[in-house]
Amino acid sequence: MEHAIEKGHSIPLTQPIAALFASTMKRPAASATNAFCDVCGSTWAHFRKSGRLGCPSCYDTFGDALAAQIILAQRGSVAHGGEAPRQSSCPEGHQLLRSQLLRELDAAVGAEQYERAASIRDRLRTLTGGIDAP
Amino acid sequence: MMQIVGSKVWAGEDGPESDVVFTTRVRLARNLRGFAFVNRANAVQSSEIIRIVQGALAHSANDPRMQWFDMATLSPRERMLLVERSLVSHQFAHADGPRSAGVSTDEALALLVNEEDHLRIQALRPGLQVKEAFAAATALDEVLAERLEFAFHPRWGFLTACPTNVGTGLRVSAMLHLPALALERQLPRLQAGVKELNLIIRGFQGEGSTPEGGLFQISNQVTLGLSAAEITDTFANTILPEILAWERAARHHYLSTQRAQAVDRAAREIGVLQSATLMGRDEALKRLGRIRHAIGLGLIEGMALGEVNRLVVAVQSAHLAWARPAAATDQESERSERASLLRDALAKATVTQSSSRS
Ligand SMILES: [Zn+2]
Repeated sequence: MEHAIEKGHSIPLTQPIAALFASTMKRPAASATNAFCDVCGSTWAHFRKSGRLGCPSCYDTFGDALAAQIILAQRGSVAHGGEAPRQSSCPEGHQLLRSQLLRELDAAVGAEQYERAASIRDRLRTLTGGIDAP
Repeated sequence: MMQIVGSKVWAGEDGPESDVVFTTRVRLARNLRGFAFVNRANAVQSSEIIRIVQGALAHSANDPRMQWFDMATLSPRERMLLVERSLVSHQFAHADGPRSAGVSTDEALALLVNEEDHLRIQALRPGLQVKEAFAAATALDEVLAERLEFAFHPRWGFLTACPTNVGTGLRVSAMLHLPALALERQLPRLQAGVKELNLIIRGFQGEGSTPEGGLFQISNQVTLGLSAAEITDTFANTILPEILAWERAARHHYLSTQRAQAVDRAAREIGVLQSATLMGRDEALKRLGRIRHAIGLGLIEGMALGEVNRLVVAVQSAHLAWARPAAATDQESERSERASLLRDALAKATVTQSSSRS
């Protein structure tokens, strides 16, 4: 049970509460407020103001500072304890989305819709890190 | 033009435990992998998300055949109609950017595309039907997952724009009618207890509004750390039965100590609703709440609880306006139509004979 601690929704009792927030507390406020997500451009300041993150990558970008906020909002829960989506174990959904995007990219370029084509390219990049990769 | 025909939720069905539970809702939040969240997506990306989601359903063998409502092409009145039926939120009806709502033919299932998250799956049921609503929402989630890849994180689970929804993305809520707890001044205790159990409590129609007619929405606050089944089980089998028992005990106490007053109040409410010629929305909801309470106490006959449920939606502005030509939208004709609708609906309602004799 390597996830025994993570899976539970209570804070491990062996650690003082301050230790769980240590990473946020030690870090000077300036470094947190300067942080931004290089995928979507969202900043930590924007999150603190709006309560909204900009994209899935923000969850990794804002790391420990965000984790502390999540644990607070979720009343001490420290990790997901439910099901994973079916497609995470098989790449079918991923492939499907990718092939669909490639078709849409063709169509957009064919129709000279360059703004749309650029946006599709951006998404293909976030999916696999390259348009030509199989 | 919009066609909403038979609503499973509002057509007059009342569902289990309906003397206390008005409706049950289960909501799942999902986002597509490879896209920015809605607050960070541009119009082109948001439109693509709508097309991808609609396409995924259309290509599925299990397509639930929803009717799609594009918010940009609906009139304000049409959007309000969806809000009043609890199919979309105010935020969804009035925000900027491409937004579309898929609604099942029985209106018990809705799929909101580009609300706060790319996808909000909502199942609504009359009365207490947590398991049924959860099953319906999960079924649509599975159909969508056949062809869409959701943003998922090994530690945080399903990723959402707001971290308060992360993990399961599940919010299960019940609209409760708690007039006796209000009358017996138990609401502060309820609020304290609810907070202790990590639940959220709100007045009718969401945040910031005042409780109208003793209606409260109670929902889970924590979405992370437990499985979706654990959250719904706790809610349906532990939390709600306790609140229901509490409200019923308060009703029993109220009836056994103030029966004559309760009968008098019911008779007066019937009298006002049977004879008023002008009525505002808030007053109508307040009075319907009291009628509902009196039906639950067995003090009124000639009117079913499900009929009150239908009226709670029918007396709202866009529903009243629906039958009327677009030009006539003044406040007075709306108040007059509302009063007329209520006079007709209450025509056969009377105080039950046994209770009037007491
Ligand atoms: Zn981001």
